[in-house]
Amino acid sequence: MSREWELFYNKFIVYEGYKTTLNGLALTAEIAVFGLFIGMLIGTLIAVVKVVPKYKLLPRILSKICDIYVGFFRGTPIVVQLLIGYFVLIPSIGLNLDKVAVAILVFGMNSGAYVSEIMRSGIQAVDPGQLEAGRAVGLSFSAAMAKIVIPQAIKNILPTMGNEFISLIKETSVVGYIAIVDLTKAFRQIGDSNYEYIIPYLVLAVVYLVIVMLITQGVKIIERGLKKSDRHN
Amino acid sequence: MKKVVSMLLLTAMIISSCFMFASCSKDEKYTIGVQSGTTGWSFVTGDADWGFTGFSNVTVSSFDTAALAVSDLLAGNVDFVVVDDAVAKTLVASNKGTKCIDIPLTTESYGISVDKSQSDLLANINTYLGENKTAIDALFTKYADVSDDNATTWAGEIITSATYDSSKTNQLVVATNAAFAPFEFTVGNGYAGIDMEMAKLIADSLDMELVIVNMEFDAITASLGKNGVDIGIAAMTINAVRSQVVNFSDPYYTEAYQVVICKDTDTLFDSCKTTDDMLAVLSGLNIK
Amino acid sequence: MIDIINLNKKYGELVVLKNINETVAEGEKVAIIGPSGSGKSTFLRCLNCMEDPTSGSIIFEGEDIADMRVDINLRREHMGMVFQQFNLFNNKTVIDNITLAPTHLGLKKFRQKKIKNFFIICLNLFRKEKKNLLEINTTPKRIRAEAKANAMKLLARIGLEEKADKYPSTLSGGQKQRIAIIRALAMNPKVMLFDEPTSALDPEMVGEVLDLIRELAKEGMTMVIVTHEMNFAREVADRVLFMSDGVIAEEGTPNEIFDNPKNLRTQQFLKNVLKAR
Repeated sequence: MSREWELFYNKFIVYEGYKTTLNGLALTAEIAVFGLFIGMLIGTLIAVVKVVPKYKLLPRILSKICDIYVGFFRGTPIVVQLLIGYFVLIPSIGLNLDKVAVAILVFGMNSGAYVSEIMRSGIQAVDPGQLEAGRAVGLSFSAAMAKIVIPQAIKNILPTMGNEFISLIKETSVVGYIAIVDLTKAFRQIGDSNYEYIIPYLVLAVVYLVIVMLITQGVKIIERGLKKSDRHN
Repeated sequence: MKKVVSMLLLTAMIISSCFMFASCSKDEKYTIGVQSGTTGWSFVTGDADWGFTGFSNVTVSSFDTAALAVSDLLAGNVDFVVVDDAVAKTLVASNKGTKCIDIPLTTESYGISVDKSQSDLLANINTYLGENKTAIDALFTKYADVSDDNATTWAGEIITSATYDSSKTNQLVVATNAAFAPFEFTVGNGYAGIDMEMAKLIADSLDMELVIVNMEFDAITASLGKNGVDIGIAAMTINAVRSQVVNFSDPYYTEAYQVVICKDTDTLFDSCKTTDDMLAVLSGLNIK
Repeated sequence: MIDIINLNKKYGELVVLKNINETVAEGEKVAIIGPSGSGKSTFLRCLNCMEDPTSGSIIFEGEDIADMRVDINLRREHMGMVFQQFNLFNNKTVIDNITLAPTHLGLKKFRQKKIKNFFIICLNLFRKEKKNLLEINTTPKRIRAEAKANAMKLLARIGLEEKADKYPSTLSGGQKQRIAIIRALAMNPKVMLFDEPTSALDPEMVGEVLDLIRELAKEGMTMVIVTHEMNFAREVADRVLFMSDGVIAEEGTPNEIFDNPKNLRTQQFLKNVLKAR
């Protein structure tokens, strides 16, 4: 074991490999965080479209489009979406997007599909009387949703969103396929340079564990803070 | 507290969308695409053990295969690709719009990597290589015209892999990365290429059944000695670091070198004639 | 004030309201009583289209609001509704509950006027006869301030000013319902609809809510109340409707209904209700 540790230590500290891993950590965090935001945006929009009463034609068309979107992103592996996005779609539109931007987009859209389900259940968990009261007093459907229902829905789903964020952090480990040097790829490259993978991969797993634990704690603190603001006395 | 949090979230969401469009037009370093774990990767990133200083003025994009790097080159996200010469010629032949600058950046020899615990096997392979130089050279001529286009419709010899059976003692399990025409590539369910045919010849000469295991290039060296993998044949350059983990056979190809692939409209390397010229241009690349 | 013509409501195969015809005059206080499942709440909710009528018309302020093409939100500003479960906005303070709609809608109208004026100015450049700009005699700040002042005045009326910055979860049922009532009043409605306002309250708090409704009645507010409080209905209502099986089985003044019910079902219902006392 000590030979492997020496090799790892050599590349990690002496050859300053830790700089690449720190950079990789920053990229992983960046992709996960911005992906989550985009996911929340898309997810909320889709959830609202699905919740609107479908009397008129427009909500029905939008609802069908949302079904197709969610079906695609939940029905294909994230790696496939990433590869298609980077190697197929972006070149065909002619855009010259940075790899990381593509990754954020893809992860955001993928996350949006899952968040839409979470948000929809969060909205439906809000007492329907809230929406009714909002509409009875003259607010439009969208105003009542935005000001009354969705804020309460978000509070409902906060723990699940924490889980979604954790999932994203772990899912970003595949961006190495489009040559982004994230946390996973950084450690893999240390392994490549030594042809010794045991220590790098173990350390990588520990790093992910620590990150996930920190996020879980963070979510608990935010939850507690929001609950406190409920009990204003 | 809630207002603060929601304002933060909102600004972050707006920033992330702006960020994406801003990143379209960034002041960038040049990007060189390589395949993970190959000599090309070490050459561009730098490897003290090997004697490569690398190029810190350049961003490195490492892909799982050289072909992906080339497709990214065509898409415009990568400026050059550094890869082995024979493979470069194959890739350029099947990717319109690229050209290969045929000036060696390195000097390399390919060897067969052998599990360190199997010294007998190593000796046998070396004996075979020593006695059959002409046969092996013939393979090089045979595959001289392979390009990725005809690689998929290869009408020549196809090597099939037997199924791995841990109970059999006469199986030769060969690890490779079959995305490296003309050395190894897949044709339907079978394999073809210089290295693949050589594997078959060696297996036949040792009276062993050939099993081929296809994997990522950087996994090959680490896979020897585990799960029955005996040798690795993958256009692998003999180097000191790898030699610490595996034994290499005598070289079977000594004229390998890295070359640059770029777009055929690129004029950056037009005035280069020697290795030093190339290295000078590469080290001199600044912000675009 | 509200004319209900041939109102029918079906949930799939289940018919809940059958061909109801009614009129609510201005200043009138109508109480609706009847057994559960008779369609009382559904009828009330059809009046402001919280439930969409399957067929029929609801004429309010000269328009058939049951028509899908009408902007129901505008009409609802003039109809206040009070729910059995109070339905105060849990994520907002009491004062925000009351000022939410007036502020939001006031600002919306302000913005719409501004945009219209902008277009008038642009188009006036091309016109010979300049069109007059719409009058805007308020500012966003004033809209908010007025809404807040009005809300505090209403809170003072029920003696709950100190609860203005509290969240609904800290209030008792009676307080919540009274705040729900003044939330509806903040929009200056022409008619108030009460859907069993005291059915979810502890007996001790029923009184304070009924007192408030009584006050409103005395001030001349048109109201339609679905209730189980027979004494209150008798005291406050000008007219009582007894509903059963989706139709108005009997209607008349409180005295007529409570003392001399003519319909068999009305008699049966009142007998059961009085037995429970």
